[in-house]
Amino acid sequence: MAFPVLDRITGCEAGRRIEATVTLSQSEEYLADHFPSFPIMPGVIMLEALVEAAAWLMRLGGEGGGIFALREARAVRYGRVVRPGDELRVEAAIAGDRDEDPSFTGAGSVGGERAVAGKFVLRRVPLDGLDGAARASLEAFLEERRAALLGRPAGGG
Amino acid sequence: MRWIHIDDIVELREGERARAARTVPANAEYLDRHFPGIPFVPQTLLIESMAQTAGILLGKTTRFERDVILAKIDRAEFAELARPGDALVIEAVLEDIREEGARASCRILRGDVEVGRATLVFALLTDRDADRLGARGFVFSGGLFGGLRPD
Repeated sequence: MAFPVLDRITGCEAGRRIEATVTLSQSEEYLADHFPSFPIMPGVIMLEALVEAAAWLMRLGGEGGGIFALREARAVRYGRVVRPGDELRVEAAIAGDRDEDPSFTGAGSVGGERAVAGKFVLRRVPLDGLDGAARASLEAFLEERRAALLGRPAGGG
Repeated sequence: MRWIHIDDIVELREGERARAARTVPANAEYLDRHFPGIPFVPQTLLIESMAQTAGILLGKTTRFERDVILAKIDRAEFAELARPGDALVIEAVLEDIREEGARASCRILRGDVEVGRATLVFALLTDRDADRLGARGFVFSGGLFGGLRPD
C-alpha cells in the first residue's frame, strides 16, 4: 500500500494550512524490511505525508486538480520513531513562493511528540502528455481520494 | 511495497564513496497508486535510494556493527522525474565522519542527466540510543539490507 500515505484530512484553512493523519498499519508490507526486528515508519514516508498534505492544500485551495512533485526539501529533522499503531498527525502551511512554486513548512507528531519537521517546495507536474481518457481517470482518482480523505461521499461538497 | 530502493552496490571505496544501481520497476503497484496514468517515482523514495546507498557505505565503516539511521535531510533537490524503466546510478560521498554519525553528499543520475541530489545526515546509534529505542542491531542484521552488504 504505502502510497498514497494519508488516511484523513482533519482540518484545512484554504490557502493557509492543512492538517491530516495517518496511522501506521501493522500489516504495512515495508515493515518486513524496515526493519525485520524493529518495525518503524521510514523517515521519508513521514516526509511524503507532509508533501501529500501540502498538495491537498493546493488542490482544496482552488489550485485545480493538478498533481505535484517534491522539488526541494530543506532542514528535515526527525524526532521520535513512528511504530505500528501510532497515529502520525501532520500539518503543512504555505510559507510563500519560490520562483512561482509554492513553498511550505511542515511538521508531524505522535501523541504531541515531534516526529518530523522541515521545509519544502512543490512543483506542478505537467499533464500535457495525457490524453482525454487518461486525464479523466486521473481526475476520478483524485476525486475519490478527496472524498476518502475528507470522509465524504465522492461528488459531495 | 518492499523497502529496498537500490538493486546493487556496484562500487565501494571504504569510508569514502559508493555507487549503487537502481532500475525503476516497469510496473510496480506503488507507481500507479501514487498517480494513475502518470507514473513517476515519488521523490521521497529517491531520497531513500540515496540514504540506503550512503547508509551501507557508513555502516561498512563499523563492519555493520552499529545501526545507521537517517537523522536529517539537510537539503534535497530534484530536477527531473524518474520514470518506470529508468536505469539510475546513485552516488554517495561521505563527508565529516564523526563518532556519532556522518554527513553524505549524494546524487542520482540517469546517464549524464542529474535527476536529483541530497545532503543527508546519519546517526550512528550508541548503546544508550539502543536502550532508549528498545532495539539494537536492527538495520543490518538480516533481510534485504543484510543481502546488500558488500563484504
